Amino acid sequence: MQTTIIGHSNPIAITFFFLFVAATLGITYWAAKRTKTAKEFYAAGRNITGFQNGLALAGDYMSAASFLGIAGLFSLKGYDGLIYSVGFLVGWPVVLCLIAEPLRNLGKFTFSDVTAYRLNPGPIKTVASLGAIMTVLFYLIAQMVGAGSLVKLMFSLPYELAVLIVGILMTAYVLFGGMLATTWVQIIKACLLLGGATLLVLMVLIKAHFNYGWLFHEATVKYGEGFLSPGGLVSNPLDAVSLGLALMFGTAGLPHILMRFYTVPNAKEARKSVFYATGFIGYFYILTFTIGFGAAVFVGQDIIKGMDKGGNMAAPLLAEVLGGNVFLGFLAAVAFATILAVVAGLTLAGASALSHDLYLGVFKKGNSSEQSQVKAAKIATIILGALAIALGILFKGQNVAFMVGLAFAIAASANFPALLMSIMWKRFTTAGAVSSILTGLVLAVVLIILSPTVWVDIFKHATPIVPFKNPGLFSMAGAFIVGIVVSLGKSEPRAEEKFEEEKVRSYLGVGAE
Amino acid sequence: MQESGTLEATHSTVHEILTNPDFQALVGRKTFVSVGLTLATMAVYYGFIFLVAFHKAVLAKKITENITLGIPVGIGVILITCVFTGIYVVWANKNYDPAVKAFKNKMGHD
Repeated sequence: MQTTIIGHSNPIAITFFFLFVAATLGITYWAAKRTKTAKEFYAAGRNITGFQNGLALAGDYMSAASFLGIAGLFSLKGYDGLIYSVGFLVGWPVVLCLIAEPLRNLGKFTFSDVTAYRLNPGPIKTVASLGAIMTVLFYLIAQMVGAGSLVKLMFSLPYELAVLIVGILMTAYVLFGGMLATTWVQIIKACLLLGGATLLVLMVLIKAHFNYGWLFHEATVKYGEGFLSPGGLVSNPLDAVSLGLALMFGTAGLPHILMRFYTVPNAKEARKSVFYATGFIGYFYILTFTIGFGAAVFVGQDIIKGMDKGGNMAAPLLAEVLGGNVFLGFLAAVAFATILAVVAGLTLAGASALSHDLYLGVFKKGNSSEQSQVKAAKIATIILGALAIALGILFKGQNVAFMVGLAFAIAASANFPALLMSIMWKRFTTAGAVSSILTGLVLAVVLIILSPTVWVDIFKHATPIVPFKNPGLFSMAGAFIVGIVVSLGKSEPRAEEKFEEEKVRSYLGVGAE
Repeated sequence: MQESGTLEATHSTVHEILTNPDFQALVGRKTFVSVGLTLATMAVYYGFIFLVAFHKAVLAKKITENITLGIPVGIGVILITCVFTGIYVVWANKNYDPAVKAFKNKMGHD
């Protein structure tokens, strides 16, 4: 078996990593001086351009899980990896066409601002922030546990120490630099990730003489014809539809993504940023496709599986084989940077739900001085940071892969339906929104617990109570139906009256903040 | 833009805008484009999932010596998704934004 230095402390990786940390802390220092007001803390003063926000959105979406995980999936399962990447991308036109512009025109800092726009803010913000926090926490646990294992694998640091370092750095970015620092950390990381992946693909192509036919041919020689066509990933069609719905509409309900639309000056820039983001993410998935196939051919599945059963080390191993220690070190540092940037974005989104929605919106009824708003946001950031570290350590060694799916399911079922109906449907009421959010949330969580993913794989019961792995179809439909039925049951004249003003503001941008 | 001041001034202004046929046409066009593109994305994506679930053989068909039909189809779905967002942005920039501006001018908003 080929020897690898992955898992031993690699001075080059550590050097690159320290360079990244130094640069991002420098940015945080610079951003801290520009982060005094709530608008600056939550929305970077709304001064980010569409292009910059596009990169940051792409950065939020291109987590270490999608870089290492999907490249690994391609290397082990071949074609089936494509089914996943496609699923993650198709949510973006939905975000663009249905959500981005009204969200930017109607809200202030969070998506619950928009859900609550013409409804009774107290109850709406209470449950909407619950949906947002649950989404963020599940996403965050998956990222933290992934971070701990990855850093352990790549830098041979103890798991707990790795989680602690990630947790402290991300809290520092958000606490001192707010959205401005978080955005620039995300932009730098997106450039590094896209640049690193592009380099890796170039190396693959050089070695394959720029001939994809040859690469595919080698792959089929090694792993059979089935490597280039769909396998068993989609065995239950209803499950596939359900997963598809959660991925497609979940993107339009992810708090850390939606929050980014408030960092640009207006709806036009918000719109442009989705276009750029979709382009970058699409390009990135095409790169991971080549990286995965390259790893399958030039590294080999046995070695990849030997390092990590899930295939997470496919891309780093390929980097080592093609570019030696230096390139491996660079890529390892990029993976670490990716984790840091994503968890920082999540922390900020979670903190906003706590401070802007729950504390200011519900407890203070929207009345609080600028100073105490920023203070609340910072306290919330520390709470979120501590929670992330604690959960990361608590879930050590657990199978948390399902948690990203759960986060998407909650986003698609609790956050998205109420948000969409609040924007689009005149007769939507406060009671309708509250019951829709709670229905989506409870159904998504309960159905996943009773599904094969948790009931069988984690609780080790023999048979699942619910046969479907993905709750999306049922929880999303449930949220829409309950929201509609309850709203039709009792009308809310004040909300209907205010819909007129909402509609004008949503379509014309008049009065947008 | 005179922003919120003009709007909050009178409730009838809002009502006037809402009942204005130009505004209604604007809303209609935007709904047509955005719902249309959302449905188109769903159609493309579920078409792909449908092939993956029920017609694996179609995707496994070789189109050249080494490349199966599934590969350009899958990559094509990724590209089409990007193209759809491009279509929306171009439409909104070239068509919707000028129409909103013209409408605002007509209604006396800056």
